[in-house]
Amino acid sequence: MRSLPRCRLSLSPSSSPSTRSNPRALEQSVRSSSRPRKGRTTSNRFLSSQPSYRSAIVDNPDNLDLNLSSYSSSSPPPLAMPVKREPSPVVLDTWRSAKAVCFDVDSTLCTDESIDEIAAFLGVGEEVAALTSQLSLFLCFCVFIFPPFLFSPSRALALRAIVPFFSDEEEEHRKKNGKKKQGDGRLDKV
Amino acid sequence: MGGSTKFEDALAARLGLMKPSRAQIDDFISQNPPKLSPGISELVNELQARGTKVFLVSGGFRAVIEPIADSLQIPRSHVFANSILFDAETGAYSGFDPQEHTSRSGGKLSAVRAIRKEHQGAAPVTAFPIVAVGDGITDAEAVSADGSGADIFIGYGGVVERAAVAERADWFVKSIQELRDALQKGKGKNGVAA
Repeated sequence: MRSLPRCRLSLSPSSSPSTRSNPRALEQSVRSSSRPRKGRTTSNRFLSSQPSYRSAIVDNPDNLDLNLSSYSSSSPPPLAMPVKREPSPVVLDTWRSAKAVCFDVDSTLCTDESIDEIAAFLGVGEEVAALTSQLSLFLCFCVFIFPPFLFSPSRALALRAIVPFFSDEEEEHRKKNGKKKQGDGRLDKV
Repeated sequence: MGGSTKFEDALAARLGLMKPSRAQIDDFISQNPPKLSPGISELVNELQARGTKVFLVSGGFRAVIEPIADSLQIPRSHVFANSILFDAETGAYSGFDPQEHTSRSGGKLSAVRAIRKEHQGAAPVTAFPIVAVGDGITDAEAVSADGSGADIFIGYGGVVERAAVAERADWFVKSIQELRDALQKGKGKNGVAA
């Protein structure tokens, strides 16, 4: 288990969805890590009976992409993926042999976001920015604020304010104390 | 917002606030020359000199992007972006073209698929590597699990650095120079650019 941190570093790039889907990477990984099993050339991606990833790492200590096919279900991917500031050999080879490169424009090809610039030019920069942040706020509310709130003690109080007759407690109270008044048809004021 | 908010709705809402006329867009373009990232024109030249086709795939507007493509000698047929529609007579804003790939969620992947379909010809997928370069999650989404999209995604953090994008990138660069260096150096098959 001494080599655990190293295993993580070596394995995580292979867990990137794009490398997983990249047929070139796959081909190379299969070619390299299944060297002892010459018969297998395709669909090794789904083999979980490969040698353990530790031995794959020992075989190819420097090669980040070669451990793909030895990714077994018993070795779950690490939670946080390190940022790949250097290209793996396969990624470098893909970059150098690319037939087509697709560039994003805003904040990549150019240093600005043209939609924001146009909005500012038209005098609605703040409104457009507000729209964007409203959306972000709403998403933030849905994900971080609302679910924990459901389990908080103030839930009943707030829910009563939103949905007046939602609380079972109040309903019970009503049945118990309101019985006497039900006969005379007046509104039950609590 | 990623892919969870419908991109077309967000685009419609923003354009609905702006309602740009043709004249306003023309004014904007003449008063705001493009601010290219350092090294981009050199990189585009170098790629095209090697025979690599260069495409611009953007959720922005053709009116703004096509002049940039012209200045970089990228054919307009290699531009995938949104079209603002104007009234033919008055030039007033009248919506956007919903047929453009990038007007929809997942539009970048759809654009890359179209590029593959048109330019790959009879070559097998492995003989036609496509690279997506960008700063956003929508750029990372150009890589698809079935191999029909881009082969790799290179994250660019030279303007904005997003942690989610950096983590997802097959390679994360902070300057265009890193990409240029990798084209020039490390010619050995397993060489890594210095």
